[in-house]
Amino acid sequence: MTAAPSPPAGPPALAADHLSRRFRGVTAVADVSLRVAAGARFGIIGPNGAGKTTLFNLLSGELRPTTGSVALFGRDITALRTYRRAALGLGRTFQITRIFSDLTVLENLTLALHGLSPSKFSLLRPWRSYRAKMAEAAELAASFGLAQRLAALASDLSHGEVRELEVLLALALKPRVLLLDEPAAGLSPAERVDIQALLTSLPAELTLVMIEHDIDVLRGVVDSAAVLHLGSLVTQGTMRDIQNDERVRELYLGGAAARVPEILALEDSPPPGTSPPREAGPAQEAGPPPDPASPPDPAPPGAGDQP
Amino acid sequence: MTAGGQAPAGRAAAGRAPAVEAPPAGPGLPAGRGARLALTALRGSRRFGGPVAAVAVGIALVVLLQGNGFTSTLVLDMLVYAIAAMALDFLGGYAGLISLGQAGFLGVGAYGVAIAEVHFFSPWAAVGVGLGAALVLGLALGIVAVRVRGVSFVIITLAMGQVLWGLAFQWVGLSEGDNGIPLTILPSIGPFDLNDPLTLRMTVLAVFAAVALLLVTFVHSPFGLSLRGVRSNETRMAALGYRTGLHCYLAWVIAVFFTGVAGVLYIFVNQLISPATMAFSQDGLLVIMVVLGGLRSIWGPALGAVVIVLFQQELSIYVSRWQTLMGLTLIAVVLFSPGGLWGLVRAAGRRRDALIARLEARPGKRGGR
Repeated sequence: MTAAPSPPAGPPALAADHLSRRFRGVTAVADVSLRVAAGARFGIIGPNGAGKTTLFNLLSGELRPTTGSVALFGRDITALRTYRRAALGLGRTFQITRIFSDLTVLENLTLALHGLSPSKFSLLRPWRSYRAKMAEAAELAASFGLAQRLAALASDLSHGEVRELEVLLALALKPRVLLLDEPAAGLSPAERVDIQALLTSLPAELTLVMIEHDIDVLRGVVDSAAVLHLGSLVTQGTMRDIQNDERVRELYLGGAAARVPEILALEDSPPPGTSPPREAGPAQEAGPPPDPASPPDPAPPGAGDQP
Repeated sequence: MTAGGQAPAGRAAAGRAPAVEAPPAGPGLPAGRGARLALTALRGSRRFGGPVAAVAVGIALVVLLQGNGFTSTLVLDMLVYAIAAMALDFLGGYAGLISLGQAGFLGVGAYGVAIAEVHFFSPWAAVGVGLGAALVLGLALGIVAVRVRGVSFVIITLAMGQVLWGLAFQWVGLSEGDNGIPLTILPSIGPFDLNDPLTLRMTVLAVFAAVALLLVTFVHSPFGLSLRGVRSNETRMAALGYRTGLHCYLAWVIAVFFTGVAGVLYIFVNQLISPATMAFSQDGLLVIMVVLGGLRSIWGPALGAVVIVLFQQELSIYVSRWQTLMGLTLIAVVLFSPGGLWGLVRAAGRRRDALIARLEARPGKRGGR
């Protein structure tokens, strides 16, 4: 089950092998196996509570799997902690944004730029005197329209700018594999275009795995995807396969209301037929008025949530 | 109103004074001469205010420490506690780890000196033992302490401080129990003799200045920034490649060591160490100094130490209920200036900068017309 369009030369960039995670009897992720080829653009789709974020936390090291293993470029990283995985080139963003809100944008980016450098232990030199890193921070900010906001406190940023900073923090580490947890959640259509432009401009060798509800954002960026439902893998394949898959249609269109009432209960979706033939469910997250056709995925209640 | 414009720009306080009067005065002046003068004064205070204030405080301290009286003892106490408070803020304000056991580590530094001198009769070796004891204890206890955060950290450090206090109180064979240990001979080398009161006072001042400058350097370094990052969002720090536990551990060791330095100076100044110095109330006083002075500023806790020692030693002479006044002061500061006393200084600086920006914008507008 390789996700890349062309057969990969080496080991997969990221592989999950029979990953499971239980929280007090609730199985958030159940026996999920994935292989993401180097350089692939891979999407993870699923309704609320499907276990997408838990899966991400297992991949990035925030959570330990109950069973199963994770490998990065063929190396087993299951036992490694988050900071070690980051050093090996695994970067991630967070669905519920995790920026340093009481620091300025410049300080946020500087922290990210020192993250994998021994200079993070430097005590005697002011961080502002690292000219190369200061220039790099300015460049990063400029690449995403935050050039004028370097001195602003991160807590003063707009929701869209916070999302941008969230992605920039991960990119600053120059990861080889980047996990993006709903980078476009709660963004206005215009801001979505910005995010999409940034994502498509990323270097081709970067392996991208993203959770996203907005199929439009996904279609432009990813070439294959996996569908999760109640912690289990429903299917994976190319985007075309996914969109034509009967089970996925049932999950997303609400046409199978009788068969999957739990999803409707979770998503509180409108009756079948009123929503466009994509995914259903109103926005449940504060922020700019979201596109009704592409609701953000708030923290999955209970099972999929982080502890 | 023109008096504001004529104020000299020399000192920080003088430069700030016209700032308040300048905006109403400015527009009324025909040629904007007053405004220009005010702008010069404000810019001068922004540029030189900090260094000038530091030099002025330094000179004042040197002068105050010349006398043999009550004042110089008071100032020495302030300096010693300022070191401990600054160290606590490095850990508590920047890394977000509020330790409620710091007086215990101050006691370890002091007891290390006293016990070593009783046993080895070498004042310099005693200094080494005092600093070494604080460092080793910091390295050892840190492994346990930085495993937890938040309230758990407060409680675990409180427990550590209480264990140290209990040892000092009850291990009579080593610590002389409640009586404490007097220190009679201080180190000396050549003409540098700490038994000479003036040399001792200047040494305490020099050590205070060195620790303050080191801590200020630390908090502006990438490591200092990483501590703020850990306090702000530890999960993200891990995702950015930081081994956050290690950063907390290093901050802890630095803080405990500098507290030990304060302890060594404490016994030099007081020539006696007893369990009372390590009591829980002293742990609390150190935290109050930090909060009153202002978290996340190295100079704030030093200011807090000055105020608290003043309350404790000066005000207590005149007012028997000085602790009530101290409590009320703390409540007022926490309510009206969450950034502490140093927060007021920072706010004044921000107002000045805003005023400079407004004054700078005015001639441009006029030229536009």
